[in-house]
Amino acid sequence: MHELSIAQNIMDIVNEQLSVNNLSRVTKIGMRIGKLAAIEPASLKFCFEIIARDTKAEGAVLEIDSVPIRYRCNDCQLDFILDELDFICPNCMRNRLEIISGRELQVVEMEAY
Amino acid sequence: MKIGIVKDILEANDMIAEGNRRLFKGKGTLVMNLMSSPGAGKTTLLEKSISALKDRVGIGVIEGDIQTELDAERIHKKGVEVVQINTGGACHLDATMVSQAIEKLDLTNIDILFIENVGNLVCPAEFRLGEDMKVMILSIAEGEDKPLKYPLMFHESQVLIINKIDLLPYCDCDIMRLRENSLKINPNLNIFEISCKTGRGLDVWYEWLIKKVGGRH
Ligand SMILES: Nc1nc2c(ncn2[C@@H]2O[C@H](COP(=O)(O)OP(=O)(O)O)[C@@H](O)[C@H]2O)c(=O)[nH]1
Ligand SMILES: [Mg+2]
Ligand SMILES: [Zn+2]
Repeated sequence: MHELSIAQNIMDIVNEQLSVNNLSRVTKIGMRIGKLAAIEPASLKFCFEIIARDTKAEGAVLEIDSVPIRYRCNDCQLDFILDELDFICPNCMRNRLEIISGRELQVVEMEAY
Repeated sequence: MKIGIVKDILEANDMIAEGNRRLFKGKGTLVMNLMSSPGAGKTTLLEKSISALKDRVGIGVIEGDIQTELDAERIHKKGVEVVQINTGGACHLDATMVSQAIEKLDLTNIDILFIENVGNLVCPAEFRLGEDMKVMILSIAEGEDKPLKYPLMFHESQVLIINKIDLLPYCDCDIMRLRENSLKINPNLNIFEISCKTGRGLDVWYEWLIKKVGGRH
């Protein structure tokens, strides 16, 4: 629901990296977004496209790698992936689970010149 | 050229939240982030809690809404310090908004600071504010399936307040099922069943709050 402010945050990171590396244009931005991050990739791309207009990021591609939800069971130590947020361990059927990935919201790579 | 970086987009928010947390800790203020869908009863619960407790503990409130000062006016009438944040469209409070709001509060006299988040069961769970605990309110008219549909918020909260139990005769909500679904997602949840209308269950909540504050001094 807050894709626009996230797009603005991405823009800030891009600008910072361009200036640190003395570059003038970004063409691709690689991201990792967890399934639990409450961010809709299509909507984020749309918002970013609008924000990037007339900037050093105009036309840059947002490449989004979706990160699945991974759990670790605190009872039997099983490490597993589920597509949904379900809180039952498939091995021991208990529910003391820790979310170890799926909440990511990261910029991990940029292509720039 | 390729630039490899790993930058958390919410890192800036987390850093500011950490600053808020340290400030609260230094002042000895217990901070609760109240989250629910619109209309579950956050402001009503605050009004009740303030009336019952303000002679025993110092209370402050930050009200978050997309627009209007209506909730801050309701709290102001109860005679405690309150700051309204208008997010201007944003679906959640963030740490910066809270850090600006606390500049307007004298935390030295505040033992408990309640932050009423924007009514929304999804986004507020993503943004740390520097709170000690997240408190979720669900009214029974919303149905027993909500923990399964909005699991992250139930997972992140330490407390679940089930409100409007006076409406049980008029709703088909199965409250045992609601408890079960909630505990399945978060076995550590402290659950309170209350009615702000009849007052049922409120005493247990007040005593729990007093104990929480007492434990910090
Ligand atoms: N029947 C009943 N109504 C309640 C109860 N608690 C709050 N309400 C009503 O629910 C509506 C929304 O409450 P409010 O506190 O403004 O919700 P908020 O949006 O979460 O702050 C108001 O009309 C309240 O009077 C309750 O326990 N029982
Ligand atoms: Mg309210
Ligand atoms: Zn297990």
